[in-house]
Amino acid sequence: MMLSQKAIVAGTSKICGLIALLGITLFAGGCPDETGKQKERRSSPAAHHQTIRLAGSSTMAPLVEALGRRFQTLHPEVVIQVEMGGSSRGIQAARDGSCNIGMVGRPLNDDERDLIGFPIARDGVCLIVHKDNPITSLSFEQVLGIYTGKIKNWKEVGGNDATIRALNRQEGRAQSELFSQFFKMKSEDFKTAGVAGDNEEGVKDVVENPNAIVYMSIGEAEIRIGQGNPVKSLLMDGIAATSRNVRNGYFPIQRPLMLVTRTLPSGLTKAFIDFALSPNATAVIRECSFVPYLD
Amino acid sequence: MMKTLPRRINERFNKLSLRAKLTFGFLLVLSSTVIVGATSLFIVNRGAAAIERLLDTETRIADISRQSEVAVRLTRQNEKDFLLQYRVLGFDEAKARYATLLKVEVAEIHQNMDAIRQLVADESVISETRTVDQAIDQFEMKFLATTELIKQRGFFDVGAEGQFRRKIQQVEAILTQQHAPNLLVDMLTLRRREKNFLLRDRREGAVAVKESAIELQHRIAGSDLQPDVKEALRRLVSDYQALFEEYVQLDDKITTETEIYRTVIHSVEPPLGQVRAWALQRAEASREQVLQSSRTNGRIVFVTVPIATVLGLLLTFFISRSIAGGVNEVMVFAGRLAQGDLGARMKRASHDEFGAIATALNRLAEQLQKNRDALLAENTERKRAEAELEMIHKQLVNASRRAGMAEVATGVLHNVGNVLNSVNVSTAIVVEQLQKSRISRLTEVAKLLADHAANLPEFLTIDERGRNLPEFLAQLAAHLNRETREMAEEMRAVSENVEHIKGIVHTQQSYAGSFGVLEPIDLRESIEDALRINSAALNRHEVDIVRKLEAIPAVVVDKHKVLQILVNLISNAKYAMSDSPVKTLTLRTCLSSDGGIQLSIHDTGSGIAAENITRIFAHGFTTKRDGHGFGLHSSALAAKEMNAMLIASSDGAGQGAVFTLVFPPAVPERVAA
Repeated sequence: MMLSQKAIVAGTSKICGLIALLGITLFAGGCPDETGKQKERRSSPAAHHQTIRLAGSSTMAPLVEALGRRFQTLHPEVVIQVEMGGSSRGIQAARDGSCNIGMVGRPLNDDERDLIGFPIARDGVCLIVHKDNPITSLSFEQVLGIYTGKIKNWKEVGGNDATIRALNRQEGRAQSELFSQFFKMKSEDFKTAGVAGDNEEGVKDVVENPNAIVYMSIGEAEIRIGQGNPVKSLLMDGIAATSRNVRNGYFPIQRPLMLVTRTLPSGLTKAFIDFALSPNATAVIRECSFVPYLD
Repeated sequence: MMKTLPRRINERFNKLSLRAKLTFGFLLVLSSTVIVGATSLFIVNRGAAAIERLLDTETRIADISRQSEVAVRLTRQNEKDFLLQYRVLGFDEAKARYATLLKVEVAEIHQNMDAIRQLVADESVISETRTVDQAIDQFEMKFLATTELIKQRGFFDVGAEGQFRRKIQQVEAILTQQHAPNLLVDMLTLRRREKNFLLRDRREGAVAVKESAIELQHRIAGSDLQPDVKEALRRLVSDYQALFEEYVQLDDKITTETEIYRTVIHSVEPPLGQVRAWALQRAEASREQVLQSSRTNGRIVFVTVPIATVLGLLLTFFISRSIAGGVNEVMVFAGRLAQGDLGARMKRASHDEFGAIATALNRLAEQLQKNRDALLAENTERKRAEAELEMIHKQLVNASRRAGMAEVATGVLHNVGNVLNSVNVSTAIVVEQLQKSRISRLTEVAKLLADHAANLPEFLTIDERGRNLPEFLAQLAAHLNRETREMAEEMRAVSENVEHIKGIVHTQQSYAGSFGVLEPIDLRESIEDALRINSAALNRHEVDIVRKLEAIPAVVVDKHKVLQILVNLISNAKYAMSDSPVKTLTLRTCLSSDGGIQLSIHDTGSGIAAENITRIFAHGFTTKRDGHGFGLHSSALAAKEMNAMLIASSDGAGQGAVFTLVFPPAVPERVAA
């Protein structure tokens, strides 16, 4: 009796075991496929993740980063990597292929014609003074005189009898670079009363000191003036400091901002350059105080 | 091994009936399957719906956005084409062509935005489309307004440019006519500056033109020309100045407006890009949702099916264990019952069918136990009764044996008595014969002779008596001879009878010592013995004996029993025939058709009444006046002991009777014998 009971129980467990085994086999058979697919699918975006590496002009870096962020909203799989190091570094990196796109804050030189350049915006620097300052225009020599300390009083340039408070911009900033390059000087060689860190600081200084003068990007100046700040931009050698004059090339202290590649761009690089050249970039360029090409 | 929860589940589970368990189990498994199926179906449907939406909405939105972006590009291209071509084609034709195309594109963009708004409910997207609508409207308005400004500004000989050109051409004509070369140079200087301005479009160029115009006015005023000519020139130059100023302002305004509408049109593409990105992200999200759904589906199946399987296995385990346990318990219980352990009870308290079975089986066991106890008691009683019966039987057998012996003895004695009667008669006859014998007369003869011894001759011769003596002696001798003969006859009868008695006794003795001894006997010999024992009575009653004795095989029996039966039957037959006119006793032996042996005794006596035929073997039944009702009963018993059968038959009262002793067909002993 006991034996047969055991036999029945053993039989039951055997059947149970068999069913369980069957189930396990089924699911074990189905499982790896599923997880495998999942893994593959999950890893696929990572595999599609592509990086556009840009290097060069530190002036352009904030603009390119902003463009990159905007570009990423349309291409979430793309990672934009921006390295600074100056326009020459941009030329070099584009040339040696260590980056996809070089950022160059000037026109290409003759010895750089092997590269392909795409101007995406223009950068211009103007001088602003207080609205009450009677001076409306300065020549290049006057500007250079003021910033080299040769001209110290406004009356020397036809203004009030007041000491000129010239403000430099922080070295390494786009404005500082363009401004000093234009006058073939080094930023540290300027003799100024102070340094305005950012545009806000510069505008504030001028607003508070009617005898102050500071240089800033034309786009920024237009925005500040448009906001009603009691400041004005000076004509440079008789030419109004306007975006239009930068755009049409009349304004002297200006430069193109270029993306350069070693070869004709393709794929993702082309997509990014197209984006930077398209109306999509216009607003971003403005926000970065640069002058967009309105074509 | 079992934890508390499983145990509790187990207990709960065991409370259910088997049917409920099976129902519950199958319902559980079925419902699991249905849930899995329904969920899968739901998810698949949702996935399909998502795919449909993806195809229907997101893709279409993305397409429309892309189309709109193309339309914006075409719009911008038309704007540029107009600006490039109006000098070549003429303003109206260029506007008719490019501005119309531009309007078509703008209308398409509006339609596209409407289409997107109808496709989505997302506020941000709708807001983007509104932005596009507004911007493109603003662009169109500004552009068309700007084309009007361009028309006003004109070129070469039309618009403001044509007008101021005609004025200065008139001035040139007058100056040429008047031969005023200095003024002509000034005028040409003005025109060179004007051309420079028109070519370069620089504000300082305009200033230079204006300065030249003022200079020209001064020169004209200070010239020696006729006053009316001066006045005409002054008016013409003044008109020129006004018209040029108008041109400059128009030009400036056009530049400004162009910048504005271009800025506006530049603001159209980003929202379109955003909408497209949104649609693509939604498409990706939908794809992700489909995949997620499929993953969820997979997970549900992956989780639910094993759970259902495990549940099913558990249920199977529980049910099978429950069944196996129940069956085993029943088997164990049945085994114990079979082994006689009627005190065993099933301990199942479960509420299922096994509980019911257990209850029923327990009742059965209880009933069995009761019955067995009763049987045991009855059995004991029966055994006791059997023992008693056996004892009685033994006593009865003894009694019957004794009775048989007595019967035989009675027969023997009866016959011996009969014979003795004859002996007695013979003896009496002899005694009487002797008493009245004439032998005494011989003594008288002897005395007479002795008395006449002396005169014997005379006596014999003379005396009368003497003389008659020889005759007397002769007669006496003859009489004595006869007497002796008669007496000898009687004595011979006595001797015969004594011999007969001796034979009877011998026969009886020959049976007396064989009780219980089984030996092969010839039934015919037993018949002869029985007849011999009864011979005196049969003779006395003058019964005719008819023997129809076929040769039959020997029978292994207790021959005393056979003799007892035969003596009894012959005695009964003789008794039955005592008043019959015909007294024939027919004795028959034969082999029956089935191989048995039949021994029948047929009398012509009083027969057996039909109502008695079933009672005659009963103890105490008799028709004899002085009977005990014992003979046939004990004969039947004796027959039974020999495994034989005693059958009585009669055609009725007065029809005689047949008693047949039937020995069953051959058994090995008999055959062997």
